Amino acid sequence: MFADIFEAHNKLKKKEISSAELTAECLKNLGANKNNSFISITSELALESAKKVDQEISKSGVSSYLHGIPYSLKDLFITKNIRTTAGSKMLHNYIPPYEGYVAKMLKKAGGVLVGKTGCDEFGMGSSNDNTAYGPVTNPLDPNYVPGGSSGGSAISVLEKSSYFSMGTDTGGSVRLPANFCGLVGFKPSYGRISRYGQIAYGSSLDQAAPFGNSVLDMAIILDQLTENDPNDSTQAPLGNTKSTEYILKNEKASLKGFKVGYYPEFIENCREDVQKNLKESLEKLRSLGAELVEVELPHSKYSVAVYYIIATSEASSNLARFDGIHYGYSAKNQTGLEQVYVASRSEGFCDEVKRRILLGTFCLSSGYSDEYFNHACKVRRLIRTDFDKAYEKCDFVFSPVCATTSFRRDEDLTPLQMYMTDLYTIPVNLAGLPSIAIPNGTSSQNKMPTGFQLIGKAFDDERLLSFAHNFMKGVKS
Amino acid sequence: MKKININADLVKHVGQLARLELEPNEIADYEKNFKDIISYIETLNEVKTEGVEPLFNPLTENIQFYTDNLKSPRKESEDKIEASLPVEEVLKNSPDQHNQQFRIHAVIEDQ
Repeated sequence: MFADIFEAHNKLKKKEISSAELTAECLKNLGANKNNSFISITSELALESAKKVDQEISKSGVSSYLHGIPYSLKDLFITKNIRTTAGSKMLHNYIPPYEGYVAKMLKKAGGVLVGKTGCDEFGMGSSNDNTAYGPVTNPLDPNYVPGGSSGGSAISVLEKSSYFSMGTDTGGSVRLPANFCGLVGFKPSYGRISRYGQIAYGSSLDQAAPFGNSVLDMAIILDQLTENDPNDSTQAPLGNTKSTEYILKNEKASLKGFKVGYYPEFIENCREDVQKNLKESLEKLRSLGAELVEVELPHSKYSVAVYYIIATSEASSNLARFDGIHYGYSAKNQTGLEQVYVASRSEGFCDEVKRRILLGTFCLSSGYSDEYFNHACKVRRLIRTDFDKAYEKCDFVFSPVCATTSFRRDEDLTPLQMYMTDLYTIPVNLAGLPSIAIPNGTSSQNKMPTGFQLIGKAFDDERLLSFAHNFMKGVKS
Repeated sequence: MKKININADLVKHVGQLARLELEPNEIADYEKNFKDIISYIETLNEVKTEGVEPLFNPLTENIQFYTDNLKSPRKESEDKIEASLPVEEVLKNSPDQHNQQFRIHAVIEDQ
């Protein structure tokens, strides 16, 4: 197994290894799905497409960085003719008749799909426990959760059954598991990657987001997924990013000339072990030449409350499509149409999904929508304005990803306590900004990974990735 | 935000709106969760939002960035006629179908 996509790509390019060999190695590492990271494994299809790719490469060389690279997709991405469950009983038998944008673009780039990874139902959860297909195990320590909702994707990269994986990040669902597993996770700006064929949870927050082993890999993946898509009117028609080229052109082990903002309260509120590593990373940024400046993000403390109004409201509307009629789970032996709706939904959704649908329905119901939904959207603007003001003083904002490391599976968190794990990731989704989660060591308390995130201005994804890449280079040198 | 009294009836009512049937034990659980969550959400009462425009989607904010950065103004893409999915493909996932259509329970009774 090579360190990252970039390295594997260079080997493929020089014909020192074949895609079939890379794929066979990934499938071997997957074992018998020992960590339950996958819901569906497409091994035959993978070996077949690897063979096809190898023929292409031997004939005309590699055509993209992802040509021949094995990867996985969170089971929330629509894949034509491959079962797509969203981690839910509701879609246990759903075989999509069309290809979603992400699957289409990665196929076009010559990537080799290993399978569809486990996740919290419809992307709702932080622990990977809300799933009809069994929780994903964290091989670093099975007593600890991999993080959610894209936990299966994170583990597929960690166990080396995939070189990269696409997850989705609505409130931190990629950055949190990346942080809990010691991986790199990158949430692009809202509107950068088309959401066509990404099963919707919170439409104004959802964004496809990759996991991998290096910052450069994040750029490689992003560049393949930013072609304009007429099927998503909320995708900004900016055309393809060229972040890989940008990074390689600006590569240096120095951060001179950049200002990094940090909000001291964020750091002080983290657990001691996490705080210690955050402070070390700040010091490292400084020693590599970045100028540190204090910024204020006072409204971020309301972000969880705002999120649980907005995300659940959007979810209650998005999930209204599951009716037991068109596709998916349908309750048997019902006497009328209404009964089919009610029974299919009540039996098909898990508790957490029902909880969020109920909360969202309440927030949008007559008499409450103005006080809850509209008020939350106003506070959302204030959260965004805080970031806008911060960027008058700095280029990027440094922040924790989570106040703690991964937590133990047997810790009995209430729903509200579980929601609070996303306190530092949610503001980014509410404001629509790009953010990269980077590992920075392990905890002195439990040896589990720790990390931080760097948050950029909207659509400043390329510069953010380049800065993060140079930081990592500086750390290694 | 007015103080809201969360009780079993409210949870049941919201369940009906969302087309979810809740067992008595579920109602009790959700009632408890809702009390926790709503009282937490009510911390938003501290925030003064007079004169603040609601932000529904960040793209409306980001849009300025890309119009400023595009060399030419955004053009609406032209409508193109494309093939739809074949009916039989779409119906493949439905639990019940008849004559190339979704079949459901009768909603209008025979007279």
